[in-house]
Order: sequence, then C-alpha cells, then structure tokens
Amino acid sequence: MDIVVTREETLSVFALRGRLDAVSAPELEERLNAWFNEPAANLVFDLSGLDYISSAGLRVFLTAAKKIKSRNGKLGMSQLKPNVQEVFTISGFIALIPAFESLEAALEAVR
Amino acid sequence: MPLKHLPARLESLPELMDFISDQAVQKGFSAEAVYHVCLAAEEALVNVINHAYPKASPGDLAVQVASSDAFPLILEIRDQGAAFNPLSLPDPDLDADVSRRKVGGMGVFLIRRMTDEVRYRRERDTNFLTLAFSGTRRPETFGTPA
Repeated sequence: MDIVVTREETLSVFALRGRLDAVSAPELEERLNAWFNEPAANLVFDLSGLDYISSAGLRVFLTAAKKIKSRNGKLGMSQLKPNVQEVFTISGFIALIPAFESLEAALEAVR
Repeated sequence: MPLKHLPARLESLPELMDFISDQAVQKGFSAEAVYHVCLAAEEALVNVINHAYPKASPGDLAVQVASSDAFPLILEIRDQGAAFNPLSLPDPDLDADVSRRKVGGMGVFLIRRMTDEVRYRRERDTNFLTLAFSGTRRPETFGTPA
C-alpha cells in the first residue's frame, strides 16, 4: 500500500492506494501515530486509490476516529470504491466516519 | 484438490492470499465475488496467525481447496493450534458510536457476511474452518447465517 500525506496547518490528507490488509495496516497505524504527535486536529482519508480493506484496516480507522474525537478534531473520507464502500456499510463503520463523494467536499466539511 | 500450507506467520499471508485469489478467478468468479472470497479468507487466516499458536513458535497453516455442486469454491483452513471455534464469538455492536465501538469482533463478523456457508469442527489436534462460496451471492442478500 502507498500512503501519501499532505499537510496543511490545521488539516492533513492521507491518500491511501492499494490494499489495506493485515500486512499493511501496521504501516498506516505508524504513520497515523506520528501524525497524532503533532497538533493538527483535522484529517481526511482520500480513498480514491484504495482497492481493498479488511478488518485490520477498519481497526486502524476506528482507532483514528476515537483519537480525533478525543481532541475535538474533525475526520472525513472521500471517494470510496464500491468494494470498500460495501465493507464500511456492512460493518457499520460508514456511520462512524463521514464519507464524501469528492475530496473537495470532504475538505470543505472538515476544514 | 489444490493445497497450500505455510508457517502461520503474517509474512505468509500474501502468498496464501494470492493462491486463494487465483482459485476464485479460476472458478470464473466475478471481481466482486473474488473480493468477498479474499476478505473472508484473510479474516480466517489472520485469526489463525494471531491466535492459534504461541508467537515464538508458529505452527502450520493450511488451505485446502474443494468444490461441491452448490459451492464451486470451498476453502478448508486448518491449523493444529489450541481448539477454538471462531463462530462462537458474538457479533459486534454495529450501532455503537465512535466512543463505545469496540475494535474486536469484526473479523468473524465479516467471515459470516462474506460466505454462503461457514462451519467449524475440531478433529483430534486440528481446527477446521470451512468457508463455502457460491460465487453468485449478492451483497444485499447478505445476512447472518443461522
């Protein structure tokens, strides 16, 4: 999986490409932990390039959502592919992280 | 019938997943059905990798491929770890909010939703988890099996 992080003052975008599975989830968790060490509060996941997610990935998203909430930040995600959207829907995680059809809409909501 | 077995370590997962994905593709499954097979299989394999054996001495993790009239693809996942029926776990609370939502329990939940049939049995020293796929199931028909 590729992770590209774009930082602004109060907002960061994590663009994920490829597979977020049990093998790659620890890498995302590590990048997020580093990000959480900084003061930035708001986060958007750009999922336009994410092809696959399993419960190991959902777990990382849930941990991030809990941390963001505890620091009164905002979290969003954008452009979920159908297979990824399905996993978010049946797991109920779609209700935990606001999903948007475009990156612009997610940035607007979270900024 | 194709069989693949490797040490029950995370490093084995990509090779096992490639094997399983190839099997589903060979059965003519759609890309969506292949995704469902891969997701259910990953969750089952990771359960074995994380829980079946002591961390320091991972044992064997085997995937046997079979088929029947009803199910063109059947995956039998075997380990010789501690006896454990993952299907005994309760479903997670899907309606909990962010603060109360638990991180555990999602793997087995996804296995139930992504398979047409799932069974566990213990024979002698071996756990068998059998995942059966018709390859034609639509997501909207997914429900919790009895």
